[in-house]
Amino acid sequence: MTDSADTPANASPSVAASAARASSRAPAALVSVVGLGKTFSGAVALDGLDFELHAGEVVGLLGPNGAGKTTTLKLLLGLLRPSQGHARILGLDCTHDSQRVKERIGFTADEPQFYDFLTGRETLDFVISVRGLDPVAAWAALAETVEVLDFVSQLAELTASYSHGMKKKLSLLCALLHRPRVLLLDEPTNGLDPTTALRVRELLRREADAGAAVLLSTHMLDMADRMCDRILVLDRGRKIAAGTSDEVRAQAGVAADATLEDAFFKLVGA
Amino acid sequence: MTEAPGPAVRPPTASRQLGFLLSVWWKHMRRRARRVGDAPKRAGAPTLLLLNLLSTAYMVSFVWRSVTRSVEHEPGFFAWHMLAVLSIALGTGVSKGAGALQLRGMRNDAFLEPLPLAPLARIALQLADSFFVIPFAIAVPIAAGLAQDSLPANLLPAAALGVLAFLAFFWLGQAAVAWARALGPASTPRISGYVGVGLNIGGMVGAFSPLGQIFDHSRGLATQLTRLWLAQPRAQLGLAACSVALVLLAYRALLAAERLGFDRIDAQHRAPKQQKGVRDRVGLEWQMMLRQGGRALLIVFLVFFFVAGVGGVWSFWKLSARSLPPSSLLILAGFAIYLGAVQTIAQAGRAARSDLLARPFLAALPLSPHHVLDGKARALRRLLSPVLVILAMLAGVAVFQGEFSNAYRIVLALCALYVVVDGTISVAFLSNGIGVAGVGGGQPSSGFSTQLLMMPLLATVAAPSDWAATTAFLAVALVTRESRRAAHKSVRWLDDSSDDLERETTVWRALLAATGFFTLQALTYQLLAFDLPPGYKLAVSYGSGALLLALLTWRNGARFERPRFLPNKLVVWPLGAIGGALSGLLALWLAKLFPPPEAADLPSALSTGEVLSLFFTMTLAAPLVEEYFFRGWLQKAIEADLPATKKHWAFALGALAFALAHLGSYGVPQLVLGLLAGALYAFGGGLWPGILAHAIHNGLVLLAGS
Repeated sequence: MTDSADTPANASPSVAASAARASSRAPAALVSVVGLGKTFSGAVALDGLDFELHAGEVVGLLGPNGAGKTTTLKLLLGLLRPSQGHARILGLDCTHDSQRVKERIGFTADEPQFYDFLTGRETLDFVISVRGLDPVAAWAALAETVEVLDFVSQLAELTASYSHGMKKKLSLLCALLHRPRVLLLDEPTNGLDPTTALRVRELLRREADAGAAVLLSTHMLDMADRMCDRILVLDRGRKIAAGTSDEVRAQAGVAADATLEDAFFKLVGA
Repeated sequence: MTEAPGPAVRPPTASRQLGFLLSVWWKHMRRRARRVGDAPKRAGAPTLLLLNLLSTAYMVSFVWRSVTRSVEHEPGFFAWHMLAVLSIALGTGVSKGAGALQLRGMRNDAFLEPLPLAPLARIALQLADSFFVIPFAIAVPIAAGLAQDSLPANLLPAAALGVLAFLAFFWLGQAAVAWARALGPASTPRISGYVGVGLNIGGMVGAFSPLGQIFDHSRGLATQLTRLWLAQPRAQLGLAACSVALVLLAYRALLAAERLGFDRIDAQHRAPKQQKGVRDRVGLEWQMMLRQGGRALLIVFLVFFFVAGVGGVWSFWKLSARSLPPSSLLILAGFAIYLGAVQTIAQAGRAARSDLLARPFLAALPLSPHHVLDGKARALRRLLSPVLVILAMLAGVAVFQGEFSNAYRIVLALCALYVVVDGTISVAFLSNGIGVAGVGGGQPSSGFSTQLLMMPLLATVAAPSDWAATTAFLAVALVTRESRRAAHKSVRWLDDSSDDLERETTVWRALLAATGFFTLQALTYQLLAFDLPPGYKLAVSYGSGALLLALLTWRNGARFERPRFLPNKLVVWPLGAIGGALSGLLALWLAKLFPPPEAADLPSALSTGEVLSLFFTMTLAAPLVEEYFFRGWLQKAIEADLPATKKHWAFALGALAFALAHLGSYGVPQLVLGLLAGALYAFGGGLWPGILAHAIHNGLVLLAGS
């Protein structure tokens, strides 16, 4: 279980592992997105996006600013209504059944914000109670994660005093505490120090190996390269490449030993 | 095998969720209030609280007394009017809902979004969030009652009903938006923003339009219209003030709603690109405001504002309402000062931080709120100085030719409006940290400071004399300035709590104490002592003022340094005696030349008890209380506030305040007396000589009067 966190670091075993995972598990996708589109007063933010997300997968959403990554996540969360197409999570429609979807997923926002004058512990207590979890059990389950994220001492501080990275950590804890089967994460490691970012990656990999599907948007290409089973590259609301990082390289027409960064630049035409 | 949703942990019921939500929200608010609330506390919260209580009490009693006509006279019109007011309430609620909705991304409870919160619980939280509307909910029915003179004779239940109805409609509007957000299309916020403004404008137009007369039928429409417009100037006044304020609020909320589009652009990092070509900061502000508000809306707003303004001006021209008692000005000003300042401080402190944090690219631009604020302040000063010259000229005209009085009032009111709006914009700049929102501040509730500042504006036009109107205008300007400063300070203090606000707010506190002092005096004079013979009234009034001062001194509630009584120099004693006699003689001479308006109040026949009471009040209580206050506190406070090179002007400013407080008798002898006593205090270092001068002055006037 522990070495699986490192597996995606090497490209070829990663492909094999993800292929094996995909074939060994039930084909039913935890998240399925069909022709999803969103238009904001004439401006197309997302245009006919299709993808599926299976248990045990970590999928990265890549793309330049304004490509539609956050819009996709918001649509999946039911915060926005799609202009076309639909998205389902665990068989539930994200728009019309968003309440039940929210019961089953974990989400971290790009810019996490909390009640400034509650401590981290109080915030988590609140989330536990609103989700109807048993506090003792939830805290027991959370204890290890808190430890891993090196967040124990900060739990007693007011969130107003948190740095961006600390808010990210708290946001991640809020998303993980009910052990959701689907995790939607907007820039989860943005603002974290390299050590913590590595731990978060391991944490997410472990969640995935335990059967969760993780969709994360990121700008950190090397991280996406190393940890994601599949990558979706968006540009101006359209999917321009998809697949494992090798497949993305192939689609971009760069050498197999080129970095994902090179592929990305080629794809978005930078 | 299809993926079953699975037996996820069921979230608790809506009511339990609401319980959690409210408890956590309350905890957050309480702690926040403790932190942010320290700023207003440092600006004299005990005084402010007292002031608020007094002014509320007085407002209620004032309305009670002023309402004379019964609803039976014009039931149809009354019903129509209430309908209009409720429509405005509904529109405000919708706007607030829309604004809050749009601000969700910036609100600290954005983390609630991914939680499986029941819609009901969300809505309830929205309602709990609107507690700040209560003062406004009280003010509107009162204004409506004043405007129509037609509340039922039994006012208290009617006023309570009005408050409830207002709150209900306000919340209804908000709840509707929250529901629409939970169930409706994604365009809900934008649509509800328009609906909110529509309801507000509809209500306002309804309130102004002669359509109400159809309800009252039987008489010709044109006659009714004229009668309504001309015969009820206060109707125009009250409604104009309320409606303008409401439209401002709605517009703010709408702009906040419109900001979603801006957020999106912001999020996509297009905004910095668009700013590249803009060198001029003003141009940038303007461009961003247009983008936020939309040109069409801006034009609608300006046209509407213009129409309302012209209508208001026309009705003020015909204004004959001089029935507001002078003391009510202070009450109104005090009420506005308290609520406006506290709101502003609380809002600005939070908003400036969180909004700046939420918009890092703005923080990086040379658009910091302090810059913008300073720029605005400079521009305001430049603009205002010619206005002040014209005002002074007009004031002169007004003194010598009563006919110009109404014109003067109009100018005053327009200036006051300008100051209020500008001040609010400046505060909004600060509170939004973005400096571009114009009237459309991001915080839906910060609009209330505008509305509360509108009350002294009302006083400016409805004041019983031009002098009182001028005082009210000065109060408006002062309040605006102080709100701005308070906002500034509290932001600074929130960033660095070691920064000491205390020393800098002395004048502010002294003025608040002054308002409290006069409010209490007026209150006791009007209410507690209304059955007493005139000779005793004054004694009761001053007694209450003395009591307040004693209380504030005893608990050190206003946290002023206690003044010294004994002077250091002997020479000030005879100077005080001579000076007092001279200013008393001057007062008598002036009173002979220009009989003061107060003279009518002086009782002609007095009993021995009354004479004694008057004598003791005028020669002992009044000098003691007033000297303690004007010299011991105010002058010291002004001195502390003035820059080091100008400290010697404190006595003159204190004397001016003293004279302004005695405008009822033109204030000229009081200015002389104030200058004298102030100089004696500054020179001798003790209060007694001033008290002596004051006592001799009063004694002479009293002797000559009796």
